[in-house]
Amino acid sequence: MNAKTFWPVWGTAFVAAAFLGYRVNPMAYTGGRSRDDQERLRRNSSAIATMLGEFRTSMSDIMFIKTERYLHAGVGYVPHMEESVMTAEQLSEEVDEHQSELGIPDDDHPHHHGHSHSHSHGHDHGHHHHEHGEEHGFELDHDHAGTPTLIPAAERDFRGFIGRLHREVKPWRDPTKAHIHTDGRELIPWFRMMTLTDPNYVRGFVAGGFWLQAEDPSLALEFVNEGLRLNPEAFQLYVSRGFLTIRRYRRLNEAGHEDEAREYLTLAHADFARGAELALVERPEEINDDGSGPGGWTGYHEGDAMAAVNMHVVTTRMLGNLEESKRLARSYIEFFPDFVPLQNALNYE
Amino acid sequence: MNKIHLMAIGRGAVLEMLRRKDLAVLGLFMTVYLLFLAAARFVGLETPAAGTFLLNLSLTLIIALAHLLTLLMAARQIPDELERRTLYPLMARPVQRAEILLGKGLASWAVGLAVFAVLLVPTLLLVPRMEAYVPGTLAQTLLLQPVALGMTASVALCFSLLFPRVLAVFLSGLLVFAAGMLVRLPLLAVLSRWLPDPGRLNLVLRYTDGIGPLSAADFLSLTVSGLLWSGLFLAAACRIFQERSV
Repeated sequence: MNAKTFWPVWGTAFVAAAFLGYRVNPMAYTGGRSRDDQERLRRNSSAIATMLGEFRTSMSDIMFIKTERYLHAGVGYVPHMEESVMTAEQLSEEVDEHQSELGIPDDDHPHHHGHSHSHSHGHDHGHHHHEHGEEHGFELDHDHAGTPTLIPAAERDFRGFIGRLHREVKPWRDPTKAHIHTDGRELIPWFRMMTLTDPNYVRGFVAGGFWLQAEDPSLALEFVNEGLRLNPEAFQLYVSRGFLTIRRYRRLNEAGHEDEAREYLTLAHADFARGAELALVERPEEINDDGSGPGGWTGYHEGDAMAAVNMHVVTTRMLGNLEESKRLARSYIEFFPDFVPLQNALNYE
Repeated sequence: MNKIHLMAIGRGAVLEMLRRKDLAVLGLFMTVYLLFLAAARFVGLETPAAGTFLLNLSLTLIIALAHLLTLLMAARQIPDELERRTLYPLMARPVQRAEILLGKGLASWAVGLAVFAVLLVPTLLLVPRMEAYVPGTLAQTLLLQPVALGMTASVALCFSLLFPRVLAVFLSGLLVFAAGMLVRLPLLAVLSRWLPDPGRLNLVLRYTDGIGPLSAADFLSLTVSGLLWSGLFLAAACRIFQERSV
């Protein structure tokens, strides 16, 4: 083949190869063990995972470990098996509280101290008693005192001098003392990495968006929008964007910019409506007591679906459409008969 | 294209690899890997999730090693021969330049494939499968790897003719191991459709996630795309090599 014909043929084959390769994304599936937070807790608590330290092939696992380390001032604790996964709504509140306790300026809440809250690693530790420590920029969590550290305490360490050296040169804290919590600022690049390596890991976009909003609300929205471009059917991302948008609404409303605030409320309403619609399509008919169901539906999905329908009702009412909000609540009660906020929505006058 | 010439050139490349004691390094790695698997079995896999973790880790490691070896071997074939001046006696024989290139590319691909196969056997035998996996997905994973290794070999061979050796290895490594991630960066997103990404042919995570196989159309699409990319880079390499003054 001469040069005249070679490159045109080559170019045509190039376009064909690009088209064929691009149209298939083998990782574009919902669910899967690598994206299941409970499953991750189980595997990261295993002896083999401990042997490997921080070495993982899954970015979400690496992220989990980094989160644990960063938020505990570098101290590695044995993952807590009793942890349950947070929904987008819980995560949103969680990040808020975590940041405000640390004195990090928040976009819509004044600085406040000393109330009970759980800390967020992208997973829930339940509600614990936290207080500020003497260390600047840290808070102390007494409820997890006693959780073993990965580097064992002296009385449990058979290594003698080596163990003592290990505790000296690596970040370590007596496990009987309260945990130190730092802010989650360092986590943000890891969420970026996580979503770059697995753009279909929806939780990464949700959690990253909430952490990012404390730093830059516009960037947080951009991040979640990117998640939606890559996962247009992921209802959790609509819920997440709805919560981020409604923060802006509150901030503007409190500042007296009511017209502009209402625009954001309308946007949030549209997101919750779309989120609720997609959630009900995806939600299986049979749901277990813990909220899980067939097809990879977890309690976390169920929680987000409930948040979507509830916020759809709430934002409809906030926009002044009381009757419409009651009609929506009645239609959603068919799917979530025991969900109290929907029952309450019927009693609004 | 003469098959005997291809075989002879390929055999020469493999013998050169053996002479360089690459096999010893590989043997060492394999011993460490087997010790790791044995240690994992000895420590015990308390939960099915830990078993899945080990399976994912092992398959990912052996695929990465096979690609790394293929890449390094392919990227040094022509530059090494040029440096040692051993390419000239070869070119003085009645062989085409394309045969030299293809023979060396095939040898690199075959070595990578052999390493993958040799490491795959203990992995499948020693790592227990404690959760539900779909055998069809494993079959697709195994069938796509030879195609992916072909892409790696051809990309490395082509780049080795275009760039200095270190840069060729670096750029090939970026494509082979990080193309999927790079094209999601905002500045590079425009390239997402146009870069070959052997990582797309890696279905290990899909398999260990318990997800079913790709549809026949998608599987065929990926296979044809991989073969096309390999052919494209090999054709480009042949063209460059033929027009190059050595």
